Amino acid sequence: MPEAAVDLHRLIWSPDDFDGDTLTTSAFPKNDLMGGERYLSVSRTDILNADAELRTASGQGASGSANVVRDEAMSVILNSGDVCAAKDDKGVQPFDVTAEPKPNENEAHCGIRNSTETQSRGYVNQLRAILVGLASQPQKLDDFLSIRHFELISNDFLALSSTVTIMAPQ
Amino acid sequence: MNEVNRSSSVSDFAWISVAAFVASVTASPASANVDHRRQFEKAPEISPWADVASTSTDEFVPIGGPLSYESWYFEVSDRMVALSEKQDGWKGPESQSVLALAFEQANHLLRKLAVDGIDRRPTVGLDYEGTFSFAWSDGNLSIDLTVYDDGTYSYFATDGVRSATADDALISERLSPQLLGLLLS
Repeated sequence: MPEAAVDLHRLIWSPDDFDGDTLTTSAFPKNDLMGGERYLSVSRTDILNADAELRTASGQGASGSANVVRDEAMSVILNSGDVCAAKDDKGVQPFDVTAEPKPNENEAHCGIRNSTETQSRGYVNQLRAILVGLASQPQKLDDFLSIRHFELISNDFLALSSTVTIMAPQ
Repeated sequence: MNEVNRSSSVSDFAWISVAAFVASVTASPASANVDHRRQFEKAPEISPWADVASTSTDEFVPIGGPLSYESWYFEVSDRMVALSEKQDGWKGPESQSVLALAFEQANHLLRKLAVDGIDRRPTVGLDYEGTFSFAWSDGNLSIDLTVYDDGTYSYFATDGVRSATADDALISERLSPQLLGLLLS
């Protein structure tokens, strides 16, 4: 399970999952929230592979979805700790986040699972409502990846600069 | 071939619905050549909602009052029609196009919400199964509602204090007071 501080990237590649600019609950498929072996696919951002996300976005288009345009793929972020700490109306924490790495494809792949025994229609509606409430403001996948790339470079620079001692000339 | 037939039926239904609606509005002598949304405000005594109101609630929407639900009803209805044109596979191999009955039932519930005075516009999503989901998220209010093609709907609604849920509520019956209360709050 990813640490609580880890953010999870949910790729929303279908523009139909947005009503205007607003994320709809249909972005979180009911079948993926029924528990058992099913889960909602996400990627942990701390080891996220940009190429894997782009491949996924493009691959969905090739899998029979006529209207998928990679440029329209969107990103939302859910914090792993927030997801696991969320409670349903009975005070139960319904979600687990599990690592589901795909070797040589997407090591960052994780799943948000309905860890309860409850699979009723109304309960799944509740889970979707919780997830929409936890999701960040959507942004374009390309923008998300660009910003993340910049942050990684900045972090590398900061890490490097903290280890370098500039010697004053004698 | 099945995909084509299925899609056609939904599309046809959508057009028939629109045509029926326009016909009911333009039945007014005063409504000829006038935008139907404006006319709806001016001639509510022959409101196209009347048939729905008689079966869904004893209290009709205040006639001549501020019909604030108009704009969202038409927006949502337009989006449903657009989503109804999706073919099987629109969101990957498991995704299905909208069944005509699912469209009809969702539209029925939508009208019922409008008649019951709900002035919050829901977002509309299309699920893999070809069903529509309506959602409201505003402050503490959080609702997800799915309409099925068998005339039932499921939902969860909360405002952070109160909550209401159902697995198979009947569209033909009144909205539950709990859900209505949350939507009207």
